[in-house]
Amino acid sequence: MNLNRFKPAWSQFRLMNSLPPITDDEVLHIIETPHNRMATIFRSMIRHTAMYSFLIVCCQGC
Amino acid sequence: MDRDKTVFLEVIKTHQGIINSLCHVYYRLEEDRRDTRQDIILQLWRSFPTFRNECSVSTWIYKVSLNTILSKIRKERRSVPQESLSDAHEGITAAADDTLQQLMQVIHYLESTDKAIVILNLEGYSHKETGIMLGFTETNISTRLNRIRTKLRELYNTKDHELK
Repeated sequence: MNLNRFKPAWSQFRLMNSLPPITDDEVLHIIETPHNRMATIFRSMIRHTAMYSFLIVCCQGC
Repeated sequence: MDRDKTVFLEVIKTHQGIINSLCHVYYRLEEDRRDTRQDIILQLWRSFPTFRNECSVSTWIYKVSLNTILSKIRKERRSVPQESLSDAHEGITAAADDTLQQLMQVIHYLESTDKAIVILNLEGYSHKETGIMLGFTETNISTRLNRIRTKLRELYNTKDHELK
């Protein structure tokens, strides 16, 4: 079967799809959120490490 | 806002038709389509620093988008339910005069990777380029395309036979 006959239909389909266009704000939200999540994880890791070190130092005499 | 983000936003604005149509082809539910679009945009952003204009922007978008979708489907292990031969056949018969409807039936009938191969073929990419984008050899793409054509020919022959 010759798929070439579907080429105009595919071009037509590409122009009329159901998803509404994505806005700049939505794109920014998508690309910035994982970065923020990583920063939060990193900050929380530092905080826990500091707390753990403090407890180890303080509890050595117990 | 840094320059990279501004350029990236422009790229997405210009080429979002590709992303939207791929989401539409692979997923039926609006929610799934939106989720997939988010995943694709995130993957595009992650690979944006390594994009060196060695290929066109649309080629890069097709490559990243299709690979994101295919790996998402593999992970979920729940692709859009494939239509059985009889379902697809019914649809094709009903909409025999409408090429767009026929194309949709054909695409929904195909398995995920075959879908990607057909889409890239319709976009005019060579077997070699399609192979590079999807991680197959050129020969593999030719073989798969021949198999797809045979499968579709059988589907249409059955339809013609029933019409007689």
